[in-house]
Amino acid sequence: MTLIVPFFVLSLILCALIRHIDPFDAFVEGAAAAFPMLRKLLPNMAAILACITLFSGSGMLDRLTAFFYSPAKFVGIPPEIVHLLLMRPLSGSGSLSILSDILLRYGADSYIGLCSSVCVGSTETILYVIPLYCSTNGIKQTRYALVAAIFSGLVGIFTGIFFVRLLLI
Amino acid sequence: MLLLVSGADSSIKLCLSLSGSYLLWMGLFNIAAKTGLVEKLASLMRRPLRLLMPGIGEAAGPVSLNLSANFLGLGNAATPFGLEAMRILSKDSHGTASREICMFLALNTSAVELLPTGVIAVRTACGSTDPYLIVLPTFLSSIISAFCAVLVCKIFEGMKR
Repeated sequence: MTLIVPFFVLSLILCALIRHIDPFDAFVEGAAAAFPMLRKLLPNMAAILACITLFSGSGMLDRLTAFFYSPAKFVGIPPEIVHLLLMRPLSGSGSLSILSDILLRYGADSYIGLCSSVCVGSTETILYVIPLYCSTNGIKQTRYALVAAIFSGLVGIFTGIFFVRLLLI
Repeated sequence: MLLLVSGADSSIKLCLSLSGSYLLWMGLFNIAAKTGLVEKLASLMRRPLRLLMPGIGEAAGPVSLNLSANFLGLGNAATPFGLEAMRILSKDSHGTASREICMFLALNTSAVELLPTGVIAVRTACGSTDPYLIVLPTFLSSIISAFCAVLVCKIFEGMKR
């Protein structure tokens, strides 16, 4: 797995040389295009991350966790991972640190540990990626993109727990 | 107040820490584009992608690179390709997400990954006896959730035509 990227880069350079294209010039030209992208990205990222930090730091996240405790238990989600599932759509690094807390407390190979690992793997940071991609490109109306993403995230959580029970327990 | 500042602060840190890999991947992307490799990958993926996004046009290259990078677990490489794809897709959208954009966002956020590298690293660090145990259930459930994302998009497309 670790060899994929070096191999890919090397064959790319060889391919360019065969076709008489200067790989260095092409690289520099492409890398220069990364700056307009980053410049557009930063203000949008600042706004989104400020909101996310406020949400998790103000106690809103903890309140929502408490609120969803019994409903989650009712539908078959281990209530210990609700906190993680609420953080998951917002922040990749934030949810990995919560995952690490859960794995240390309940054991990485326990039922709760397996469920939380699978749920993190089968979902994405939808409430971070979609606002970021859209606001960076001036899209205000996302129409059904969020609905589709949230629905597929919920499906990912439920099927994840289902497969843990089916295959691993 | 402190929280808001620390949030904005982390955007600077994140942007700076991402900028290195953006420069690298955008540079490599340009080599691949000049040698015609992007066009080759795009023409391979065009048929299946056309089914999902009929008006994909010239975004086929970055879209297929984004999805393949995601699949291989190269998150840092996937983001610049995703932004590039979004830039091309939203050129004449006038602030409203087209059905191609909705489908792309839904596919992008349904996380079909061969190896969830971040989770495996955390599991290893937390003393799991078998960190890779979760790979199969994760893969199966992300396939199903991606299928559901496509389905929901198709249903909405049918409704709002």
